[in-house]
Amino acid sequence: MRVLGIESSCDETAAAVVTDQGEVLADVVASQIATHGPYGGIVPELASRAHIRAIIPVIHEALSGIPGGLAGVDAIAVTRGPGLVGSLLVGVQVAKALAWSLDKPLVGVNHLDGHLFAIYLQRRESDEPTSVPKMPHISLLVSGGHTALYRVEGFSDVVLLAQTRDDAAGEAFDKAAKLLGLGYPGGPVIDELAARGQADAFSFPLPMASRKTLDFSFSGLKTALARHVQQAGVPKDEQTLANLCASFQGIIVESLVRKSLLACEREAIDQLVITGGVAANRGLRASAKVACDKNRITLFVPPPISCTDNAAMIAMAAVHRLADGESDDLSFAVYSRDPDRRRGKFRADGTLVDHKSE
Amino acid sequence: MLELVLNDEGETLALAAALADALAPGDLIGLEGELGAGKTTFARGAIHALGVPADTAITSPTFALVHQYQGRLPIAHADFYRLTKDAELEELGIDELLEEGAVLFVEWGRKFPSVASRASLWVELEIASDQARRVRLDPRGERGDELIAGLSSLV
Repeated sequence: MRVLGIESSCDETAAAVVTDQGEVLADVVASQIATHGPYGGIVPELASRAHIRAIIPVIHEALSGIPGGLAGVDAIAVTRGPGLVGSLLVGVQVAKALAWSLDKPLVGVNHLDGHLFAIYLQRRESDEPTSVPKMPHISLLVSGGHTALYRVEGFSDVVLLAQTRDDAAGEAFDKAAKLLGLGYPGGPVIDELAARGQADAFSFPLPMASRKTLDFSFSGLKTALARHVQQAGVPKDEQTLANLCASFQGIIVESLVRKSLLACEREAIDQLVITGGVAANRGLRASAKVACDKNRITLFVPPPISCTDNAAMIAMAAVHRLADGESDDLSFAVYSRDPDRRRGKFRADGTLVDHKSE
Repeated sequence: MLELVLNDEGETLALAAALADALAPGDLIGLEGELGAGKTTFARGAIHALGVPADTAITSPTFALVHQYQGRLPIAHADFYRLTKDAELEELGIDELLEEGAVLFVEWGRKFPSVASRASLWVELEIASDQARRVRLDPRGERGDELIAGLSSLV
């Protein structure tokens, strides 16, 4: 079975083709083809207009290497939320039109499920198959818009254990970079500077340090950095700047790793997945590896191309429902905010499965 | 115009809750202040006071641009930190949200005419110390004056 995945929930327009075994046959992201593709000029823009311009070329590109093109696709998966309603509608309307006109099953996917199941993607360009976790496992989803811990029981059974109470970790990196005049996006540049700095040079308070909660909070850390810059200014010499970045990143990483291990301990699970855009952070990967090895937890991190927003993960998240013969009625709506899964288990369509007692 | 010193986060949340009690469909509250000043904290206090359950996290909308909630009124919490052009705002449906009777909290909206022309009240926050914030409530139009008059009797 080949599944065409379509993603337009936020900044990226993307299309991909994935088999029911998770093999990625095509994976196209609009911003990545802008520089070398025949569709030059497509740049991510915070507007549904940009998605409208990009979506058909991106789907064409994804299907270009598939025997039979659209006819060679067995099903369609599309992100239905969370995200910007206007942006989501572009992908969803195209997906519905394709499903209706081709008479193929359609599945609406939660974007966050896409991130959670990206670890199951198998990419041709990698030499060895990506090792994958069994169910259940703990997943730390950490990106520009989300920071949360999940207990992943199955492809249609995901329980939110904890999330950030204010800013996402990726947002903390971006805003720190802004405060330090380092440009956008902030994660990679801070990661690079941090690698050359001393993490104990500056002292920042560890947020949500109590072992009583799995929740994250990064707003106070951002404010502490803002106060530091307000009082001491942006460091003029490179080593002090590197030290400041190392100290700031070190606290974010420590918070992410501590809470992930605490989640594994509480749920008595020895497999941890770290996914989402911030999973590309080298400091996070290194610290998580050391901590997991020490605690006999197996760590799984998808390659960076699977961590950032893409449509292959959307197709992957739909594969199991499609294999079970399930699909969505073409009348389904989009949603801007994630259904709160902390209160129980939800299916991919957002309906409650079963109430989890506290 | 009303100027206050908020000694800690609790006082910020309390002021936001007092404002929330007076809000009506179509009100747009602009939240201004540098990174870390407490704009999202203020919005959190107001949104919970508008009846969104305490265990619903009111997180920063910087990445998603707009978060929507349902309290005693429909609520939208927007953050235009990442936007550059007024035209991008139109596509986010600010007008539609206001017409549908939502209350809007908008962070980083001052630079956009389509936000500035609709704001009833600007809440300007400033870092005074690690915990304390200075706040200036700057009313616009009759609706802004009403909101300020209501708050002045409370503080």
